[in-house]
Amino acid sequence: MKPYLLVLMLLFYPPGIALGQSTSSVEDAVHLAADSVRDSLLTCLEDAGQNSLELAGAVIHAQSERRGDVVWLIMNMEHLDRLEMTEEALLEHALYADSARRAFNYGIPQDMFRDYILAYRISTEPATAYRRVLFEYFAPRVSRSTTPADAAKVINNWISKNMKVISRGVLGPTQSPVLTFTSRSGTEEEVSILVIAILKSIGIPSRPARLRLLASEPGGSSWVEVYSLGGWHPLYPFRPDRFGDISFLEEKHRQNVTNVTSLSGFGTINITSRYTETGHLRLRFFDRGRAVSNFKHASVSVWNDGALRPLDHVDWRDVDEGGGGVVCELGEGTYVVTAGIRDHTGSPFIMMREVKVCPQETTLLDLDVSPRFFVEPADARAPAEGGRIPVFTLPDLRGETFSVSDFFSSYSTVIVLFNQHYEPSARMVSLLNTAFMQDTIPGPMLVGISQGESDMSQLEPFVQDLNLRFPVLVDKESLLSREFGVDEPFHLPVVLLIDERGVIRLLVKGYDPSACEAIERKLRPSGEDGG
Amino acid sequence: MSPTETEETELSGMMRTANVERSVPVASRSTTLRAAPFLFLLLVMSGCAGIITGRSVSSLIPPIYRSRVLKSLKLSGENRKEIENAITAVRPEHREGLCFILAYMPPVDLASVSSRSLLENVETAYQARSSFPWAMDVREDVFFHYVLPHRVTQEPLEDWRPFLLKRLKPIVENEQSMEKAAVKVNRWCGRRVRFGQTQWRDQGPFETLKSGYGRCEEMTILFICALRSVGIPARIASTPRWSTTDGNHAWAEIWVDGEWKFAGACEPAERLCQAWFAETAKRVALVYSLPYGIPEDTTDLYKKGDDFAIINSTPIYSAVGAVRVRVIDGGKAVPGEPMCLSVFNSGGLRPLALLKTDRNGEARMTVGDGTYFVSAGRQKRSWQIVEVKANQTSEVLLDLSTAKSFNSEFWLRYPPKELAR
Repeated sequence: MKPYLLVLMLLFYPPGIALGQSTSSVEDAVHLAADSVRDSLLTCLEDAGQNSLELAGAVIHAQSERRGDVVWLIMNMEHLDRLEMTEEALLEHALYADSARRAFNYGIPQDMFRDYILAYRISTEPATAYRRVLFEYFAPRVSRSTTPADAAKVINNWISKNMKVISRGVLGPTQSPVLTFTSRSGTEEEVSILVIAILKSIGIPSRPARLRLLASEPGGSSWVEVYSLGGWHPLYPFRPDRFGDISFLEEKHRQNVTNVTSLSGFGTINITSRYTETGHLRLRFFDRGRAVSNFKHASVSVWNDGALRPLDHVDWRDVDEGGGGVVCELGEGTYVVTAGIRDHTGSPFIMMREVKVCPQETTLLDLDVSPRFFVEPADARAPAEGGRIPVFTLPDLRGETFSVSDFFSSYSTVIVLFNQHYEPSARMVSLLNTAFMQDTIPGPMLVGISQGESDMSQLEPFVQDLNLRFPVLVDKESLLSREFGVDEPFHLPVVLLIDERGVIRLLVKGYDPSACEAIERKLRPSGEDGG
Repeated sequence: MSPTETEETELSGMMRTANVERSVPVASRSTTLRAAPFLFLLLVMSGCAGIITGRSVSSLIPPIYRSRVLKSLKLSGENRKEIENAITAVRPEHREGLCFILAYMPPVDLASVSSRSLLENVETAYQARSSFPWAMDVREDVFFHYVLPHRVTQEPLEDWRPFLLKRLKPIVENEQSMEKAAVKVNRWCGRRVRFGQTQWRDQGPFETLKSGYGRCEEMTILFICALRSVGIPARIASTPRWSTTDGNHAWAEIWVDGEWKFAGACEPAERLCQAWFAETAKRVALVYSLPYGIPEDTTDLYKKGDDFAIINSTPIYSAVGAVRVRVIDGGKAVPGEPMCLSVFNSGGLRPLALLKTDRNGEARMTVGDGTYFVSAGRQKRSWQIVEVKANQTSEVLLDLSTAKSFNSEFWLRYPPKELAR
């Protein structure tokens, strides 16, 4: 390593830097950030709770030319990272990422720096510092390499000679890269994480690549991709002889490469077409002859180690024309599409179809998802679809009273009865709130009615934390729950769609994530599966 | 209820310590490495002393755990000294408990835990054991597997025990009944934490308290740590997939009066075995519970490894039957073949239980009353639908030599709610 750089680094990052000093404050940090990101940064720092002082400290104490990088990391990191990350670790990531890039001068494009060098997160490892330890050990070992690929090969050789793959039991989180390095052992995933951490630490853009499920073979495969001289090159941690060999994966798993994903910054991307010929699979769903959008109860699977396993990381995109449906890209091969519809007992009727995906072609599969059953008989005592909602007058959180007719609307009204202490209610309220904020269900009003809660200090934080954008009424005695035959708060939620006269058009009891799509179907104009 | 400012400061401080500790071995953070050449000389000169020290630690370990703890010491790498310090420094009457923890400690913890943390966990657990009437009566093996452990599943390593004991002691100390104490602990947790989606990695109890929300598994981790801090035996239970609806769920099981009872974490129920999922659980296909270590009573095991066990606790929740699957190929039994029981969940048939056939080509599983998709085979494949009835054994023959198409339609039926258990 060039000696002057070591001096530079020590100047910029003196040991024993005082951390978490009381001079750091969220306001100071936000003030130092660029105008365009101040609001977002403030939201992210609030998400960190009291750890915001650590993150704010990193913004304040960062050198000005690196402050934007520190802010970018804070804004993109996940919630748990915001709670765990220390000022020291964050500053180290920013400093060493930048210093390594300058020290080795590989000519990495600026737009690759943040996503593939600065972004510290690789998989599910804890949010810790690792660059200094790895840089100090590996930088001298790659100092003669002239390209990132050459340096990566040196690392590849070191890994294959020095690391041991072990299996783990069920307890314990993923190991940090430094622990994997010092112990010279880890699971296959932990070794891949270490490889990427090393590469990032010496200024080489890198990302994980993962083939979660092979078709007709057990398990999957994970490796690394390295950016060098304008392109991405695969690195297989224990096969340095096959560095850069794109065909290695297909050679090992002939026609069984299904779906390969990677990470760009903090988000997932699909890179299947780099490793195999791909085609597309399009699914369309019909209910009694009419096209159904937003049908969620289907997936594409492969046979793997004794079982059919859904490919959950496939990137499905909506298709607007030609009957709609969804489409995804897959490696050439044979798949099984599964779809199911549940009856009132929760028992599913399942359809399975084998499909072949051919290179450069789109395989189209139409599925009839009409119900093969009928709705359970309604409880004669309780309001049902077609009947009227019970009349009520209830206060909101400020004590102002409303009657049910205040919410009748020509655009219909969705009412959700919930108790925030129970997960099904919390999930349903969150789903509906999101659907309305994103305008997935355009038109109707949304009203929440809390059941059984008399302590506003419990209800108000729930409303604020979920950023609920609809009126919330308070039914302390759970009168409405009893009207609907729901005797226990943990049997909530109840979701109702009522028209402008208070007639119930849809009634869903209990947690059902498909309630939103059911509401959307009901709201479509008659003749388009509405009614 | 958000943490108070004092609690926030304490939580933040403890989380910071934990985060630093779990990123590198404790020994690496000390001046040990800088003094390496000097230490090397010292070691060479005192070679005999080093061997004698190693022998004395070994002789302190109870024979029942000795081979496991020595293996753990090897796995701890640079952190070995911290663990040896804990073994020598712990009170003699607590040493067996400490060694039990070390015997089954995951490698990632062995590589980073400090002796301070080990000692504090053990001593505080024994302190609680002698402080509460229900805790004193807990059998030692139950105490070891379900009270003493420092972690629940895959959460970050945190020193939660003293923090939680300090806050819960005033709330439960006047209770005589373990069940009532457990309900109070749950209410305390529920007033601080609600359900909310987080990220793929598990939050530890401190992060969940600081956030004020967590997924079901994270709320359960907090609740179990809280229970254990006041000497109540608890473990995490979960269904990997519901069969009659989408998704999955995790909750807590609590050992009360000689049996396991359940509770939804952070829910304000008035008694145990009362939770929002109780009705759905009566029709559950499979529930797994996770002890720390390998309990001696292994009759209800789903899986067992060298240092872990997964218990099939489905009979606690629903009427169960058995399914016995025989895998053949051209008339001959196929040993070592992967076999799977699946249910429909979140749009696909998803594995519930994964087994391998024994030398007779058979595998057996206890599951809830209902219908399942059973499959087996690596390259060759076979599948069938099997109906399992309570208290009966259903036999399935899967013939790998007969190729079966996946173009098919079928029901997977489950008993209606009113008939469940």
